[in-house]
Amino acid sequence: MTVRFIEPRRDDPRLGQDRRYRMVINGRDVDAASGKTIKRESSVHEGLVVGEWPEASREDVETAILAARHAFDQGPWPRMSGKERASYLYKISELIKQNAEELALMESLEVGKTLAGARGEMQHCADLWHFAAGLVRGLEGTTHNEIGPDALGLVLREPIGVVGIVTPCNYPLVIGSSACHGPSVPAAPSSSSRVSSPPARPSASASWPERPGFLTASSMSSQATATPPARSSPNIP
Amino acid sequence: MTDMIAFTGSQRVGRQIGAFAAPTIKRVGLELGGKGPQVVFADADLDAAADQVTSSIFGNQGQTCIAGSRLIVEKSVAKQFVDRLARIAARVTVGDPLNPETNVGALINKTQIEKVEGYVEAGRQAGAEMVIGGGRVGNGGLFYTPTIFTGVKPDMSIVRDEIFGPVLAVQTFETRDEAIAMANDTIYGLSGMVWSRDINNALQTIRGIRAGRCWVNGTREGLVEMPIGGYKQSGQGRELGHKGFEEYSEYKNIYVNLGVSEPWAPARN
Repeated sequence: MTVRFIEPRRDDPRLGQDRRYRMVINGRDVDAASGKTIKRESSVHEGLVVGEWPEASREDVETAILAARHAFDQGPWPRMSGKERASYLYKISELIKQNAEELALMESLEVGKTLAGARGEMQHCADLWHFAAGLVRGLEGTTHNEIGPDALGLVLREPIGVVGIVTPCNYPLVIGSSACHGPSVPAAPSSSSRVSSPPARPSASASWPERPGFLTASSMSSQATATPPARSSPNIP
Repeated sequence: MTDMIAFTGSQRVGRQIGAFAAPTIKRVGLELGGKGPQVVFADADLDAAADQVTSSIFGNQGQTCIAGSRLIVEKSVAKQFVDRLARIAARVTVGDPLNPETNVGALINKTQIEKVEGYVEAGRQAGAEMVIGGGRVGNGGLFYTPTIFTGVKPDMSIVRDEIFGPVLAVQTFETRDEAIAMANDTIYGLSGMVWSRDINNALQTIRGIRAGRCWVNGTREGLVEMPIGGYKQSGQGRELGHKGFEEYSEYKNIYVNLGVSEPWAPARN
């Protein structure tokens, strides 16, 4: 039996756009300190570059981590009420929906997955942030009122702090949003701060939620898109 | 500087991350690979099962950590079920990811497609029978055809390793206990699926499977409300749901003294 094969069209206008990306560190669009870039090649069209990325070094990642540390220790984000944080998370969810077509296209071009599949995934991503927005307002602990007349026990739940997130290449934004969903966005919901890093290959969509414009408003988020230890791994579930 | 690392990726790198995090006792969340069993009983809705078994392993080119990459099918229906799978695999459209008719796009990179080729070759060499697939298609792009192996043995690499490509290994069973044992004969424990119309049988089976994300008569639906993560070497910690939220928080207990404590070293007269 032969499989039906649709030859990819090299003349598709969506392939022709110049897709150059920058990192977002401390709310600002930046290049790698070294100025180096990584060209991401299509797995569909031999030799076609579908994105050019800053090649982050250890130095860039450390800058991002320091910014996240500062945001968590001194910034406004962890000090906001759950209600305020929820409003940002809802906004991310809405922006994912509004930009779903472009995000899905980025993933299809970079990963080689079907655009139809990627579109569905973007709706799931929006739902993850939407769910996190609801959760953040319900972060609660317990009280112990039966431990004797002279004592009261309180158990608080607090965000863990700065979280480094390494996302895989197969579902960059879905996994970035899942990890983010707890406080990993939680970083967001629980008000932890995040540093995220798509591993072997940088991903446009995975870095997208840290774009300036919304999260930066709270200066809570910083990201370096780097190529740390996972770089040599071909297998990224 | 960092309080936690949340990693999703390969088992090999997950292990390294754990080691890197050890000196500073960082919390680590790991979502690693899998070799998901799809257990199909003779009484299942075989059309629905065939549809979802194929989408689970061939969708996203098999590059999905929860992919049902091992089919464990009841012997009495194995032949006809595999025929159904092959018919679906043969009408799957591979190619241009931007074309709405395409079901299967390209693998992520050259290393990955070569890895898939290596496993398929190893399966052939080991004596497994290829029902369909087993090769690249197209000119230049990294496209691989949906591939199904029968006649596999439990120690073959196509049964044991996460290939992360569109390759399905088919095993058969005669009793439920045997099916559960085969499903659990893996270092992984990320996903598990059971197909049966007998609710007791389905639940008894899924209860026996040691995996973090399971389906009964389904294989691809995903929710944000329930925690996901792996048993065994598929990871540690959970994402999503209230449990996922909890993973990123600390607990602080505060003892509030409402009375007057006795001095521990009272003044002597």
